[in-house]
Amino acid sequence: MKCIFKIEEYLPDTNQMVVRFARLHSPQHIDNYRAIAIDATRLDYYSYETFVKSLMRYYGNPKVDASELKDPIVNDVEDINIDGEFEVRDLIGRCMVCNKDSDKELIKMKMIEL
Amino acid sequence: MKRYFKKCEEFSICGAFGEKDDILSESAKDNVTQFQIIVKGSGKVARPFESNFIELKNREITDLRTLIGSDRIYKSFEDFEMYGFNCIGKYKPWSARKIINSFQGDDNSWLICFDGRPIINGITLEKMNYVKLTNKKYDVDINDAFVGVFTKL
Repeated sequence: MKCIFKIEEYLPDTNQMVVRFARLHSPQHIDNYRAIAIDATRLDYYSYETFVKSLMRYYGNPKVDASELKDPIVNDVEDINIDGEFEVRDLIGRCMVCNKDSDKELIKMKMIEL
Repeated sequence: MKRYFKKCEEFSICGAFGEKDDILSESAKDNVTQFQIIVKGSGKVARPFESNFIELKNREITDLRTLIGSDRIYKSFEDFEMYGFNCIGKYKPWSARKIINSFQGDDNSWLICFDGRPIINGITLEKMNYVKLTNKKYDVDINDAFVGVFTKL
């Protein structure tokens, strides 16, 4: 996943930075994500690459993961009624909620009545 | 090894199809299987670093409730097709039995056909059909099928 960050302030006196994080494909502008003050002494200033890696490892990744759950749902979504008889035509034109595919296949079980 | 999963109304079923000598290890949080259903093959399961193990026999339902909360290691002796029966959410014990004859149902039980085409109350079930039972008698022509009934305790 690609992420973005924006350093709003650098406070050398207190060794802090104020930073915003978001996903590259976030549905909102990065300025809508809350800025956090971070401890800049934990970051690796050897190169741009090490700086970004340490910034994301210590501060960015948790913020980005959390934002995925907190981001507004901009689509009018519906749950699939898994109990119904499958008919692909019923899904056309509707925005359905689903999980990202996992490495496990689905067992093709069917509930019947006796 | 191929892994499978299906969440049903009050339980979930996981599955694994693999080859002889496959080894599978899972942590306690990832494996909450109460009963292992071996449709094909055989093997054993144990807690890591323990010499005691539980045999997993062909076409039997094995009670693994003693392993709930433990890490597990599985080893197959043959090519295999196995399923696991799990409760949904926090651990609640179920019971399980293999069906070979007609039986009395109840509202707390589910029947799953793991293999074959049994005839129950005049209806032919297919592999992986499942049924919410009610408090009535079920007439069974097992027809060499492998059928289990699972009951919430």
